[in-house]
Amino acid sequence: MLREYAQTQEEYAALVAEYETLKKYYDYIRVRRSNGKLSEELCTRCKEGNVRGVFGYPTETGERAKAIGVTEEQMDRILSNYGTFENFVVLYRKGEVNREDIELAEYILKNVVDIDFSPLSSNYDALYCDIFLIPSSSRNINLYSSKKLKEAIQTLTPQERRVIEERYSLSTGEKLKIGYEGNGVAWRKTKTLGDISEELNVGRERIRQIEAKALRKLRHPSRKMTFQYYYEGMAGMYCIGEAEIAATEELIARLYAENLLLRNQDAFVAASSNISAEVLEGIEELRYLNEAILESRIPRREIDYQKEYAAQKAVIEEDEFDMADEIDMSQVEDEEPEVKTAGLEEARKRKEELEAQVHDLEAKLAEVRTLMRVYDEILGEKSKGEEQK
Amino acid sequence: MLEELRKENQTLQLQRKYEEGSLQEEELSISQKEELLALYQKQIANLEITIKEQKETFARYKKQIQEKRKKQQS
Repeated sequence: MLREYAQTQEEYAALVAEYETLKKYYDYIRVRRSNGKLSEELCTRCKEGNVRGVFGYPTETGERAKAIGVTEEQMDRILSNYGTFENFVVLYRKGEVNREDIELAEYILKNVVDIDFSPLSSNYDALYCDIFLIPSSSRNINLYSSKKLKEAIQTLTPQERRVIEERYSLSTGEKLKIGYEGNGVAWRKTKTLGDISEELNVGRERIRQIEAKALRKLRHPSRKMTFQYYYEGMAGMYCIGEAEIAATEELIARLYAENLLLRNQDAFVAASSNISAEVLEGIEELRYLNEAILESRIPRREIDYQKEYAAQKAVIEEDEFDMADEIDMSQVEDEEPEVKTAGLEEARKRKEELEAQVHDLEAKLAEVRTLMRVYDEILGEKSKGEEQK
Repeated sequence: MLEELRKENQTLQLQRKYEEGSLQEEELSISQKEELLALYQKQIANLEITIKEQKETFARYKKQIQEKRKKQQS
């Protein structure tokens, strides 16, 4: 292919060298992305190297159909009706394709996107669709993190975890495939309820109940907020601003604009070079933002409580209670000296000091909490004893 | 918004490198130094707020423990 572009032998050699460099970047990026690790630097390199132009999507109809997971006839139909595959995707997202092609588009295109690009994305996609009852006909793009979803599964009971892992082949690592089932398109699970009931030695109906309960638990706001990248829901519970919601919406709009999100895992990898570096950067930033929010989250009820406490505190007078026998209060009572952060080194030291102080205070608070529990227990037993008397 | 986040992320990475020692103060440009200093000041302010809140919580617990102790003694 490169020979067609080169007129002289030197030009050809230069092109080959360029090709090798780009291929190295491309392979590296593909591996990093499948591991969920993709740095900004690599995105920029990929963009600069115009990797998609050289190594992107196969251009031959047959190859392309194979990569996407459709027959050549279906691909021919798409190309004859819509000109290009990209047009077909754009029109489907707008809801303007022929009725008979809608099912084909549902079969090919994703409506759930794992921002971690996990190798088992298809399995997690299926689980995510089942948790939130997302039909294959939904044209909205839903973002989630498979890594966080995995962590959320770990919080279930061992039995529920086992059923979910077996049902969605998360433990075996076998990829789920999309297929035509019933009235539409659905993920094909490799294990039936019967298979799992035999393994666990309980009834099939019981397995169904456990699975339903586990899905219900994962749907609960306390769990879903960790893996669902949907800020409107989170903003209701936590202090998340309009800006974060806008950032997420902007990213989803960009993903729509990129318009190639394929269900087939291999095709997704092949086509992912069609997702621009900007969107990948956006995904990275979204992940960073979500983690930052989760780390610094303050429930609304806690804020209300703090306000209430501040009002009470104004009334309560300082007492002379001495807890020296239990906890050393000297460090806690001292007022912080004001330190001006003139240079970086001073600022760094000051930060480290404060961090150490926070750490100490946390330890002391833990001790005080234990002490309170002990008092509660003693008082509880005492009141019980009095009642008996 | 995304621009701001990108910048913040970059500054955090810079801070990490600086704290690890892989980047010295002399190697930083003036704008980088300013950004880093602003970040440190922000973090210090946050930590001070946290300490203040923790102290308040501690005082609240102290009060509760005092009441409980009185109850126990009575």
